Amino acid sequence: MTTIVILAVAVACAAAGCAPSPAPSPSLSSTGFASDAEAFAAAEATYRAYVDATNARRADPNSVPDPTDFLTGEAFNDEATTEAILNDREWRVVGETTIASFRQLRADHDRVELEVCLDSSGTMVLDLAETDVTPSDRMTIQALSVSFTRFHSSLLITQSKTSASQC
Amino acid sequence: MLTLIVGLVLAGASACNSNAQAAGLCSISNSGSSIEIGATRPGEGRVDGGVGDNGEADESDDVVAPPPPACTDDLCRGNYSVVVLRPTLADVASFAPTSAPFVDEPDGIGIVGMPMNFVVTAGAHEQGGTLFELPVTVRFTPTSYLFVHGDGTSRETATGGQTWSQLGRAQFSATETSHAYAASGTYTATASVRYAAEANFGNGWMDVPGVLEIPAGSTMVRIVEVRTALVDQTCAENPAGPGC
Repeated sequence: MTTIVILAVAVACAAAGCAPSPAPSPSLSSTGFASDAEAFAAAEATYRAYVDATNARRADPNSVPDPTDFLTGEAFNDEATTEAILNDREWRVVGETTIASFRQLRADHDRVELEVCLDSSGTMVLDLAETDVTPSDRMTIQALSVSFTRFHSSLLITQSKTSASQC
Repeated sequence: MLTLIVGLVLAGASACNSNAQAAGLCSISNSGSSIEIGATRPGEGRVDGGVGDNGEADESDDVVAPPPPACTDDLCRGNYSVVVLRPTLADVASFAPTSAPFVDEPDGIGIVGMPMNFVVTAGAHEQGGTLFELPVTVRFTPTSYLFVHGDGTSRETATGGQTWSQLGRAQFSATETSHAYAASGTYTATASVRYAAEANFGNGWMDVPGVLEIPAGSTMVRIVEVRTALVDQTCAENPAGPGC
């Protein structure tokens, strides 16, 4: 019984804000990271993890993490749309996409932007009969402008669009 | 039978991801700003301004067209029918519901290792308007709810959850949408509702491919650690005792 009383006191105390304030955090850059370099590094790591998860999912539909774990908002919706189109056409992608290069574009408040050159030369598209239906006019190497938003201590991909830049 | 195909033409940067690039889909997009109309006759390939397969102007009138089939639907025009391509999520996004309410309990504060309950209230949403210059009704139905707890974990559920009082359960009990934080600290919890969309141009509902994710909001939660100790008297018995 005594235990319950103390627990209630502790919660009331915390709820009333009488616990000591947390120590002030070290000063952060506008992105919330210690520096813009750290923000770009986190964005690159997030994108590599997303591409790794996508490649793994092509080989194993139950692979973890789910590629969509790295996505939110528009990027999440676009991924779902791509999935729906592939399902509709009864296509599947096999092989591995690689990252040819990154270019650091911008790091400002809660947002990091990278240009990514994706290389799909190691992939092909198969139909239900396992026939290679890879579109002959696809851009094998494509520049993308990818935006990230800060989420707690990590980043999520919010938008991924084609870029006119050359890889 | 002549079939008119109406499609939207892309413009500018388009959405592109790893799978879309591999499948050559990155140039498929639309801005909703222009329309391309082509025509085909089954078995004859694309009709191209009266130019026949041999590349010369086809002025022959001696080909007798078969009689038009009987109309069976609203899009039939007797000697041709119109096929309207399905709207995309981008087309119907402006009809989407607004953010759904997101609540957490206990309000804003929780205890390490004990469940906090998160609830999003969202329902089906229908809105009328105009799309492709046609009257349309768009319906959004929640398919799942995504709770991102801010500590690196997330949970996707089929329900938006209910409050403890709605469930008739005690505070700190586990629910389908609860989460127990493992460490003390301040976290930003967010939730999103994922909707399936359908559109109706007056001749039945058609599915819009994909899932639309709408953020339901975010809330700061403070997780505290509770330490217990065994003492020999209650606070009532000894108001000056430890912890009283």
